[in-house]
Amino acid sequence: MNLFFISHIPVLIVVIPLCAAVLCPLLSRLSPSLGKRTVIVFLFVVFVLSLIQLAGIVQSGEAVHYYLGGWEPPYGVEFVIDGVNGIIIVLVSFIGAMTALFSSPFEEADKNAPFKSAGYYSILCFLVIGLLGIASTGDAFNLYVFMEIVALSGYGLIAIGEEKGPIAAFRYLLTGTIGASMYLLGIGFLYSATGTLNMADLAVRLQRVDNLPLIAIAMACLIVGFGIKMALFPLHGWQPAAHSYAHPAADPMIAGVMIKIPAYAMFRFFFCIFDSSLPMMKTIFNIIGIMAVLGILYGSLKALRYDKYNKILAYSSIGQVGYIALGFAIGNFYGIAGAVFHILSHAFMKTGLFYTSAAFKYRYGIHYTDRLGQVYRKMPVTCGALVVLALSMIGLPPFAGFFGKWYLALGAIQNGQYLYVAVLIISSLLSAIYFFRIFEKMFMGEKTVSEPAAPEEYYGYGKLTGKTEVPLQMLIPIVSAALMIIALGLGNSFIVNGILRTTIMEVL
Amino acid sequence: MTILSIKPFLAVVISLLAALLILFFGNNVRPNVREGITLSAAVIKAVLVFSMVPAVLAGNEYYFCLWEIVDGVELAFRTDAAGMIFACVASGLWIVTSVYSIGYMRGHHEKNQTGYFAAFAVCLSSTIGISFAANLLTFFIFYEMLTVATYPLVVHYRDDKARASGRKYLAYTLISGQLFFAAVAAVYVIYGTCEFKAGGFIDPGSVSTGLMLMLFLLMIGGGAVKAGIMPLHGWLPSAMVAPTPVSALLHAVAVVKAGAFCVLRVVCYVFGPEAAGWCGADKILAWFAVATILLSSFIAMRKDNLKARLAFSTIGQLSYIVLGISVLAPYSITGAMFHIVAHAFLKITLFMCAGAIYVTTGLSEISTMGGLAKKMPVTCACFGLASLGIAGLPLLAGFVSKFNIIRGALIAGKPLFVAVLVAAALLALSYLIPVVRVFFGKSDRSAEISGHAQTVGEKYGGHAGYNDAAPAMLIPIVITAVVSLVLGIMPDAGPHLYDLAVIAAESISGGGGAIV
Repeated sequence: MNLFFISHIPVLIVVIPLCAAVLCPLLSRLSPSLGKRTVIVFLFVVFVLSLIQLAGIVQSGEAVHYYLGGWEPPYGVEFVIDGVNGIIIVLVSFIGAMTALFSSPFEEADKNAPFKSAGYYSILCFLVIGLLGIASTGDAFNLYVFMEIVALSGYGLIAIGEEKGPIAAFRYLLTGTIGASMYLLGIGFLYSATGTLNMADLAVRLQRVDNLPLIAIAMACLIVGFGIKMALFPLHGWQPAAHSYAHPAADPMIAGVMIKIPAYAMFRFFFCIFDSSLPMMKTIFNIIGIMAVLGILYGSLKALRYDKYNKILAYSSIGQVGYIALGFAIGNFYGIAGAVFHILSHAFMKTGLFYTSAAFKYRYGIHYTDRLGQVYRKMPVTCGALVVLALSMIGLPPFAGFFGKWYLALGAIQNGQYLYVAVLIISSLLSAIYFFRIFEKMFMGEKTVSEPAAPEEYYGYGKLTGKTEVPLQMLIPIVSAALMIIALGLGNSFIVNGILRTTIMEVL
Repeated sequence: MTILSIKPFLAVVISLLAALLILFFGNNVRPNVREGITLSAAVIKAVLVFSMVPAVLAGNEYYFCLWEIVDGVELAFRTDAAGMIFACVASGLWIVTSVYSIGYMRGHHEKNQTGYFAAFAVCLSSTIGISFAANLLTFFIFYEMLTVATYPLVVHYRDDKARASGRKYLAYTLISGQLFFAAVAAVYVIYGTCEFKAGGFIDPGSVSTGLMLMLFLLMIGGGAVKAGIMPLHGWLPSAMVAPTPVSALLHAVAVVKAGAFCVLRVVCYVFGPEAAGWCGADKILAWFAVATILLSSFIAMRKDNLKARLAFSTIGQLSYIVLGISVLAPYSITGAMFHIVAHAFLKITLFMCAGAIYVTTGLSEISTMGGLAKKMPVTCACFGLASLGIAGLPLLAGFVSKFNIIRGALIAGKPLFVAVLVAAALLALSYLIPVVRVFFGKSDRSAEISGHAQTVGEKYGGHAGYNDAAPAMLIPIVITAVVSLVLGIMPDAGPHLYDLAVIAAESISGGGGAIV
């Protein structure tokens, strides 16, 4: 029984939240909070399972293969989990569970609409399912299906957000559809050349394909597809609005994790499927590198221009996604390890910062950094976490952001790509400007937060006297994000050497 | 012999823990309890640091490694003689500054004292981390921590002026820090190690001269900014807007000395005298230091604000250390290291005097301080003593270090530097002695001052007609002044800091080989 259970963990990780997503609206009919609690508990169970799975992979040093329905590849769909996606699954399930917990005070506030609350949790759950699926699957078409699940739930969560949410969602829908179609087109080309959609099988059969133009076109389609989904410059158009206006409670998930998982998929395709000895690989990596460099500079410069907290964070994400792409463009061990590590660390940083943004909205309806003056006296824990997360974003040691940058810099120097090092430095300094500007406003600004401007602007209806820190359900995710940043920073070599090294070495 | 011991690590984290405690409880407990945390952490730290001195004097080293912080590099601490000197100075002076801070901050009824004392503790933790770091990456981590932890102290008053200086401070330190980071990564990739080694681990000729010079300059930039070498000194005078104990910390204990120490580590423990000489870096560094010494002295003469004059004096004195290092002779390195000690005690005395004068009388401009010695005799006497020490008069700590630096330069056959060093001592006299003369001179303003002192005294301390500074400020001043006198007469008194400097210089020249 025990063994049976363990061997089915890969699929349980996707199926358990699926059950929760379906059960949630039904259970909400019985009792308004039952559906919500089910989702939170189920997601925490998934988190535990993902940890067990990762421990197994690290112990055995081998990837886990799971054949759905017992159909063997290349005919059936296969889940393949190695060190890289094992830890990404842990990341997604952890942040998913935390975000579900984080959302609960928001939805409590809306007592008149129990069904809306159930719908919210259901969609959030689908988002998590999609992300877990992309991370788990070893099948290119299956990946497309999960990508669509992510996109559809993303549209919903953005549309139910703030005033401009529906417009932002519509923009994302248009661009996102193009991205998904490009991806589909790309794997269509690969399928026509090889007759298979299983990733491992693709890798083997592609070696015998000598139709190089076709592979090049497929690669171009994939870059555009993933580029749109991960908001890589210049394909980022949908992202700032979507991240600024999405539902504040779901925004941490959307901004922190949703754009990282396509980056992981990019790694799968460009390092695990395509052979690195292909003649056009160098050009492809240079193109990714140029996109990354321009994106890092563009995102950091744009973030300087905004006053709206979410906009600053959104543009900073465009830059940070550039870091990840930069690591792929560097393409050696340190480059890839830096990129994957940055997927993890940036996910926690951005999620945590969006948690703080949602906390400010929840308490005081603050959208603009100008109104953050002296807010730290009211919300000391939230602001303390913000400081840690922001310092990590700048890339100051001993926080996680610095070590991602360290590995990227090592990789770039090994390859003699000094331009990339310069870009990393410039981007750090630019982000120091916009984050220290927030610190200045927060710690040195005029006091502005005694009372919220209008009751409809904020979510929490509690009394705003004395210390008005957010409720515990919100505080736990905020603090855990900050603690994870410290832990990831200090323990980065355990992740890079203990978990990522074997997998990355295999594909190089 | 290497002794495995957790002591160096404990010495680093104790004040970090104190900072956390202060942040958590600071606003909920009485100020006395909060300051109790600071003081007890300071004392424990000093005891830990000083307890390691005997073993280091005997030629041993304490070593503690936490774990691999990144692939291939450990977060490790090693107490070599050079690090020991800096740690002793920093931890010893933390106690003094803490006592003084309490007097100053309360006397001045400052706001945000909790954040102030917490940031102070983090600064000290980083400083000890810097002195004990066993490799470049560990060093860099604490170096950046120091940058960030000093920022809240610089912007303490939170007005527009403080904000502007804070920005300036960050611009200088973060940019140089990032370049330092790039150089550390490059050195690690090229040489496969970043472990500090007396005499350096970089071989001359291992890379092209241009590349090595670039690496050196990128790395030294980090130290040069904090040590205030011109033209990278701009942040330092503006950081004067901070409360005086912070200025004392910036200019005597933590930040500028960390910069000088960074120069020492880079020149003597990363590149080594040989490689530094081979790529011509020592000459570049020396000329910048010479220019800084002369220019800063001339600027200092023209400053009427006492703290600003002291700031430029600091810039000059720090370049003295840098020049001592870049002469690359054993005596001058000994002298440079001992000047870290001597200047720390002398300059902290001067700054604490300036702060005590400001709190007690409200005066900050030198021209308004005529006849002050009548009202504050002890403070002014200590100021005079420290001024003479800065100028390098015999029987005071400054003499020992300057004499050694000059001796080294003479032996190395660099008479021009000798001339500069002697001239600098005279220049220091010319900008500090006038201040002392104003203090002890006659002035018809004395009635005014005493009137002000009375009102200030009533307002803050409740001592009507109070003359000299409050005991919490006066005692630290007297202690540091006496210590600088003692170190001048017996450089080896107490924890044998002079011997440590000699040991460090010997290990550098022993490892470096071709040192003059």
